[in-house]
Amino acid sequence: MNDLKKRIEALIFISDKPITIKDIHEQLQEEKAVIENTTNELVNEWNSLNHSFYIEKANNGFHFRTKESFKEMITDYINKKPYKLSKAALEVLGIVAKKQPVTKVEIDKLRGVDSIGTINVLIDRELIRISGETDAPGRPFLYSTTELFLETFSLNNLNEIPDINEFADAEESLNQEGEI
Amino acid sequence: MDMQGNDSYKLKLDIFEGPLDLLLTLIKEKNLDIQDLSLAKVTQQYLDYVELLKEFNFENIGDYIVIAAELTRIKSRSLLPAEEIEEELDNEENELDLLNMLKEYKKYRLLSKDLNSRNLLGRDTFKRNPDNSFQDKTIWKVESTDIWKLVTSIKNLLSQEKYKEVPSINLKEEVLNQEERKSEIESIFQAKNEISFNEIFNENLSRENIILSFLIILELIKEEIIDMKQEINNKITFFKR
Repeated sequence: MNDLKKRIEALIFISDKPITIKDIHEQLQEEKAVIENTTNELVNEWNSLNHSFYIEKANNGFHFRTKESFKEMITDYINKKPYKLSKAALEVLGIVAKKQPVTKVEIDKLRGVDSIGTINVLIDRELIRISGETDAPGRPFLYSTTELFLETFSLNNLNEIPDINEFADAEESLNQEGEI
Repeated sequence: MDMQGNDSYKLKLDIFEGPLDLLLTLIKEKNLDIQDLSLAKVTQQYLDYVELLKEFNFENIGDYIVIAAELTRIKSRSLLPAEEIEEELDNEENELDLLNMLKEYKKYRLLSKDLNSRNLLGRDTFKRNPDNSFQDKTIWKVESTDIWKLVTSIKNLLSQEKYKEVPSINLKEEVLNQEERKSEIESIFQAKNEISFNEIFNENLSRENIILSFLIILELIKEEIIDMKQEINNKITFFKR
């Protein structure tokens, strides 16, 4: 048992991408339920220790990542100009995440502005992809989010994104008095 | 050579988030709710911005004009007596439902803020990388510059009396050259790390030159050569990145 935990730990450690229970199961040939329990134990144990990195569960896999308090130091160490995503890009990403598969026309309509430049940036960053086309005239492309999107935003599935209707009454510091 | 300026500078920058974003910004600035009357109240301001955006030779200006037309319609309706509004409402099926568009758009804007607040791989948290090259695709940050603030300052500057005059031919004395002005601005940034808004947009410049300078500044922000911050007194300062 203890040995199994260590083997799972080693697999998570060497993984470049989040490694799933299925991946671990295929490698170690142990029962899935046992692997799942042992992995959860490992995650709890590891994350309760005071290390600079922890095990994140993203895209339904497990992944060693550094804690947020080291971000300045690491950014400085990497010394690479970060790629800048515009606020528009985050908006389009949110729309695609919620409405997928979605056409450019629908995205443009929601934002009131042509979004093709932003869509292309997101495709280039591999955060969204062309996932098909519709039967409408001109056969417009459909866009969906990618696995890298889930990985990057530490999400396991799209249901973890808040329901946008929760935001319906949220005010960005607008006052409620208004005018009648 | 001269006046090649503005025409070759077509703005494709996605740092402008669109007409609904502008409209929400104006509504928020006035602390209003999203309702017809608020729209009527910010209509004139919105139109002023669009006038300015037109001068920038902005590629997506059509999208802004569509919303401007709708705002004008809402505003004129707000001036009508109640009975006539009823009549108007009957035949408005083909018109944009701007109010709902704004409400829906705002939800997505809040969603994007929510996404941005997550622990992001490549910004807040990092993974090991087998070859230590830290591929670009996983290192990123979200743009925080508020371009509307810069546009507002330009708008305020251009609203001064002397810029309101209809440009006469005499004004063309100043030769406008995009490349020259760009290297001029770049050399200012070579000499200093921080430059105030007034140093770049000084009042001796012509209206055309202010707009050209603005486009150059936008390009430098986009290229991540410079960025801007706003001081407590609302003054904008540019700084080298």
